[in-house]
Amino acid sequence: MFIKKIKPAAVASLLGLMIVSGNANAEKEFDFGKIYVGCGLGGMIGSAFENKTASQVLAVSTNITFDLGTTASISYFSSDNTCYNNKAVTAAFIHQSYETLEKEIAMGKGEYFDTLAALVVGKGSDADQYQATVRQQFAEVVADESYLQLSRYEKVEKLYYIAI
Amino acid sequence: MINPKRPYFFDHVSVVSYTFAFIILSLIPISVYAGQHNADLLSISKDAAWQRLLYYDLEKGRSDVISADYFLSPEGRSDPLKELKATLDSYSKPFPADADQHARCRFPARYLWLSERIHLANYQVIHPQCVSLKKSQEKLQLDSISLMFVTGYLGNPASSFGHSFIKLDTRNSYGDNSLFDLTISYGADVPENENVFLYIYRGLFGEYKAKISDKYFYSEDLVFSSTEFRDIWEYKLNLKDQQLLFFQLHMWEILGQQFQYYFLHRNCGYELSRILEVVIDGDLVKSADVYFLPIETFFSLSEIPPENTMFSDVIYHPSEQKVVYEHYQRLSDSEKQYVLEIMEQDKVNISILDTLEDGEQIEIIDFLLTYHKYLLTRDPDNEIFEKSKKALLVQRFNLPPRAAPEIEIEQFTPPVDSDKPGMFFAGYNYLDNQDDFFTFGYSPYAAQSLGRNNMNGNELIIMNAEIGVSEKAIFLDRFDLIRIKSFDRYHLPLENTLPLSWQLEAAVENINYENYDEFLGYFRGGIGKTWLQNRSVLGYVMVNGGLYTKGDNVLVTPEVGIRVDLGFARGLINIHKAYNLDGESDFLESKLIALAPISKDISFSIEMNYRDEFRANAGLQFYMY
Repeated sequence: MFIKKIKPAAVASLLGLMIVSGNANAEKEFDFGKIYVGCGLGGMIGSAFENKTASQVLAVSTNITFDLGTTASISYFSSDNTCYNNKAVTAAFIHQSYETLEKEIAMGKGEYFDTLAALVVGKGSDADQYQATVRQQFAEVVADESYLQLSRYEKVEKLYYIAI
Repeated sequence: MINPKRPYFFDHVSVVSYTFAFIILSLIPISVYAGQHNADLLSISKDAAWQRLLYYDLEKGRSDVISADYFLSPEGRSDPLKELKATLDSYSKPFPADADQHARCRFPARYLWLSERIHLANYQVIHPQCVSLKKSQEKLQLDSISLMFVTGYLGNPASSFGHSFIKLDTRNSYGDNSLFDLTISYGADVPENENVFLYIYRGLFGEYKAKISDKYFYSEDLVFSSTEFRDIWEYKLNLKDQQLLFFQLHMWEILGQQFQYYFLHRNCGYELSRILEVVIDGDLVKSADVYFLPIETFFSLSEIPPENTMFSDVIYHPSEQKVVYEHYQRLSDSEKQYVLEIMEQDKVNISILDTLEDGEQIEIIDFLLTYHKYLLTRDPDNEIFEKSKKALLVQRFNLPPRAAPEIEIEQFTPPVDSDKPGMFFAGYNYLDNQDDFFTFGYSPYAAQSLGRNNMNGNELIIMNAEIGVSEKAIFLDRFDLIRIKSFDRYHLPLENTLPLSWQLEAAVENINYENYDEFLGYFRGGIGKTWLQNRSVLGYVMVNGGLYTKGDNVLVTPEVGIRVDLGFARGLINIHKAYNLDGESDFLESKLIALAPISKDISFSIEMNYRDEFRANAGLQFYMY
């Protein structure tokens, strides 16, 4: 019922994503770029938006309109919504909360980092091992000399592939 | 033999004929309400609960929902009876190829409500063919519902009055927190990069469409707490299982439907009240002809008898700015010294921490990381902050993992226990050498700096009118179009900016207490610095500039003030001196105001003022909405 309310451009991209996913190997389904475009994580499609700051990302992805309220373009209540599969949910979560995750992964703990672990490996004892691995790999990304030159999109993408 | 209990006719019809007749009759569509008297249907269509389900506005004679597909009758938006009949007709229609499009799948809350009043053949809350609805309800394991209040802030005029949304407390959240709880928001669809004047115009005059939508709580948390630095108050609602089910089914019906948005009276607070009215089957909107404030929903809920039973819990989510501030207060003096030394350098030199134990290093770096995140939210393009953040991150990765400490946050009065926004005032005035008189005043929105609903010590008063009544006359004593005071209470000593204070005021006041016919109008604003001595005492100095309708038309008025919060009462003393543009002294005014709550909705106020002559006022403030 609610799938019809997704923006036409996002639907077209989403269909493209589903077709590609069906034909290619399973990893393609987890392709960050396709989720980014297909599920409208950037709010608008195009590389011109890749360097948005966190507040701009939040503004676009939630259509912040101050107290005229906020609206979402996709709905959880649409049970067939591909953008609510686990990988897409993880991508959206990292995309929106990157700055918080960056800090909490460095600390090794935190509400958002714990939630990321629960998203990917569940709430069990695997979570500690998962967090240790993510922390170690992400430390290398941050320590790299090129880190400051990366766009926000690129940083999010790197963390996404470490996280999944 | 004739069976006396059966009509004679049936004894002469064969079983085959009877079966055939039954099949034929079954194929003829019969309204589910066949046999239901029209009078009954009329009565049901006038039931407040049915009209709530349709978002029907009695005064306008139509529903607030503007989406045609929310109605099964072409005239359903303006005729609850026709919509009722169409809903009942649709019940027994065959399921289409896309079964989810059947009315029973699209409007499950309507049918649940109707099933308790009309016999619906083979009724099931969720029909097995409604696959999407079934999946959605299975996924969403709802424990409770919370109504969330986002405090107002003065950074944006449209945000000054607060915001509200609903949070669904679900069992299938990821992790042990509420980040993946769903939220239900009502918001206008505003085009990206909308011109600010068009934004105001369209917001005020209903030129935006709005809809109810859902998203995860973490999105709201990141926007309100981490970006706009606003507190969120979570009020958990005390609802029965049947009400939760009804809410869940109704959300399925209403999500995504379009409304017309009016900033003042058809806003988030109003429409969320209407949603909750459907669930609690009672009124939450007293009046919304001119405006409706988001906080009103909370007061209305708290007053449902027996009083204060609608909320089972109240949870405070402090803004990230407050967390940063309190985190800094938690550091020891030596840790603060290290923090200051690190921040004073152009290039962060973490090596000064090398001599410290891991635990101390972690304490300092974790604070600095939180602080940098805060700084970069305010100044996202600052490359120096980005570089120093990277250095801190790299150093932190070399230290053992440790969760951020629990930060104890200063406790504030929850909004529902604070003063209501509307204020009526009755007081007595004493003037040197003039007749005494009574004052009666009203403001529809008064968040006073000294009131329990103060915005972290800040003030916002709108349309405050005060009428004087003396033996000689009834006269306008004062009218404030707007009065704003803002103090930067959460400024840290390591910030390289000043802790600003600012104010704005547009008012008219009576200046002749003999004939009551002379008025002074003015518009003035000021900016300066705030000092927070401790949590109870705040000082400020400001330089104001103003335009006046009498005497010197332009005045510059330096002002100094102290605000004291004693818990049981709050007071403000200020002195300002006016100079004209030639540098000549115009007037000196000193003022003392104190406010002490004496019951839930009443405070005692006293004001003493000296400008050429002494004036005192004492009275009672009554709060309402």
